[in-house]
Amino acid sequence: MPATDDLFEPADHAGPGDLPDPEDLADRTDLSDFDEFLRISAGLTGFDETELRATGMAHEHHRTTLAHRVRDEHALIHLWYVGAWPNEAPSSARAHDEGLMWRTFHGTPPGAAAPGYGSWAEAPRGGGDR
Amino acid sequence: MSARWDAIVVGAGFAGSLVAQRLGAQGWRVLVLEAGRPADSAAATATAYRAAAGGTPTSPYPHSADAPSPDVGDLTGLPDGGFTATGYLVQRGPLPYASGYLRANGGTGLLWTGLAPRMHPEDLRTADLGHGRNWPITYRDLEPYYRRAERELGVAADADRQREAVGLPIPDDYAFPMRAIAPSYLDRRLADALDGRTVRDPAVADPATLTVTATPHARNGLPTEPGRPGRPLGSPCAGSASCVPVCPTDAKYTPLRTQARWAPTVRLRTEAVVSRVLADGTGRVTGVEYLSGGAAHRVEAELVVLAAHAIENAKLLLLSGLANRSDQVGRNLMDHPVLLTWGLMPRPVGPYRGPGSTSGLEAFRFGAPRLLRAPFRIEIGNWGWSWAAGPPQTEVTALLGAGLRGKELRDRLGDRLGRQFSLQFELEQPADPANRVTLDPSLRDGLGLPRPVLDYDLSAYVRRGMASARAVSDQLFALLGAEDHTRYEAGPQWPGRLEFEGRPYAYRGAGHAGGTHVMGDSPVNSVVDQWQRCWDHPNLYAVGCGSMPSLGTSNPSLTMAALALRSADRIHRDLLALRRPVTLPATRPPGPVSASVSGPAPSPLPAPSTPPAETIRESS
Repeated sequence: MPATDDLFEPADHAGPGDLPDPEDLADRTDLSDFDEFLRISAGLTGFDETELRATGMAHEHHRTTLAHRVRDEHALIHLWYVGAWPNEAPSSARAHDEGLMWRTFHGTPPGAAAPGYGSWAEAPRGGGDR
Repeated sequence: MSARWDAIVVGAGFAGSLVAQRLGAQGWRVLVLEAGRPADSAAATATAYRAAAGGTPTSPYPHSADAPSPDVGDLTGLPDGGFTATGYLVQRGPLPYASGYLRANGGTGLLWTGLAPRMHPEDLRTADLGHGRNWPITYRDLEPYYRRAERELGVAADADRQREAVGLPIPDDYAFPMRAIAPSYLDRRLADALDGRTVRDPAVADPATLTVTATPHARNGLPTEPGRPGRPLGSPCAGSASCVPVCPTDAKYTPLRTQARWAPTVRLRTEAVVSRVLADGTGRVTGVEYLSGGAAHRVEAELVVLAAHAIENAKLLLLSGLANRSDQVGRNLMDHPVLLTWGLMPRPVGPYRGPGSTSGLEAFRFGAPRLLRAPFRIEIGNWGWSWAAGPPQTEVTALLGAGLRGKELRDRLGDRLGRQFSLQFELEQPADPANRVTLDPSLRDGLGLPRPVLDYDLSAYVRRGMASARAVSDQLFALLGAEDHTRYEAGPQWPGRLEFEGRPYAYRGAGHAGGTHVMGDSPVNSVVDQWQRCWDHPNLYAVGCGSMPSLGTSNPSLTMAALALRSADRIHRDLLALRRPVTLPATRPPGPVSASVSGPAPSPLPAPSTPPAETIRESS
């Protein structure tokens, strides 16, 4: 099922004369500042700033965010969790691999890791055998 | 002078690559014509797939406007429960043929799941069970070729388990090339909860006893006899969890592995779209016409083998006006309709790890219940809800839409994704002549060739199988203590949706097209004989799942491979009767067949760097 989002308005549909959305994050915060971007991202994603930096994606996601005129919470969380701005391809294969949604259950995306023969037989980290 | 090949193989997929390998090894000159393009390396394909954030199984492969590939994304369900279809296949319904296939070098065998169970002797006698057709051969005829196919593909399985749990008569001295693939953690949790328990199929009087059973795989496991000499099989599966669409470490068998062993007498030409099989006035075929580079070309051969996919083989026979004395060409189109159920296990199971399915439940495949409802094999799905309800980003979108943010989002998502599992009920669909491929001359592809038109439906027998499958699923979920999230909502995600006795069901296609040049024991009611040789044309073969009179409940690629190897033996004998093969020097050093071909050469071997001389005319 493709990731879709009714709330989201793609940036390239926002013409130069459009008024900013009142709920637009850019209205309230200065996302152009990297530290501020990271702080906001941590609050929205539930991953702390250290965890976000450890993905190696913080600067790439910051650039992706700044490339969009219309930015809302939903889009920013989607970027971190899925590795792609809504309705767009990931900025790189790595962006996809580092999507936080996989970390929520200690998983890895298809094809991104080769944990070794029989690894799938082991109890998952953070759960399983009781 | 016109070059004349010993054999032309149309299609470089599963069956075609095997036939070409066997014929080349026996010294025959074989031209393989593949409509699609070569694929990139498996590692590069895997990277492209990730960079696109996933997609349909054919999406990371090269697509060609001249040889379009049907894709599952061509189908969309409608709010009222109907469907629309775009793309290459013309779908007339009433239900959609719900599978895609890939026209590229290696074919759909590049993106197959890699499950390789044998068919059961009973599966070849479906007409005796009241539905569909019987095979003209028995399991005993196939058994030696199953062994050869298992060696060629490198099958990992446990012979004892296959005898006990599936009831396969595998000879006592037989060992699969590799030990069974390790069951997933999910398999073991299901075995804990289900083994020895019983469930009731509403169509059947007696309860069925459950046993979670490891499935044979054509992916590298651990060798059965580590010290045994033989062809190295490669590294074991590394758990990349992306067999569909591609194994990045090449641990899954694909036809490219067989192609790597082709003798130098086998030549491959890609982006060569065969448009017609040519025949003389006596019924013998003389070669094929193909379109490539904007021109039509003709090549001649002693014998032609169609191995282009069940639907493509039917299309070629229909286009050529051949082999259809029985009026069965294109008919009996079958697939495995797959009923999916999905939910959340009580505790984390570590989904999205390892092969897509490592074990299954075999209790509903055989026996008297087949008289009443379609049998089904249950695959345990290791990849969460990805096939059933969408990949993890679907869940992200749902939770975001519900307003979850921050730590609550993280915890809730992790809890749900970590407990996802699915069951895949692969149902037998018996041969039905009304399910068919035809051609409509007014609907043409980019090269001007008629597109396949499909009429397709699921019979009451299959629908009763679905109802039984769903009832079994309900009981399995109860035994597992799992939350059932199965919903077959009318809408875009379920083009294959139907109602039966007041309940909604939906299916996806397993990609197991068969039946369209059905094998039989009489030219009156079948297209090919037991060797997959067209009754009407002694030097024209049509190989692949299209020959299968029934699919049973086994993923059919292994059986297709066994049939292809059996046909290759017969083709070799046919060619010997027609002419002698290239003989190799008696003092040939050990190792792979070299390019030095000597001895009496009955026909000119086309130089490697130039195409054989052909009659080239303007493309119409």
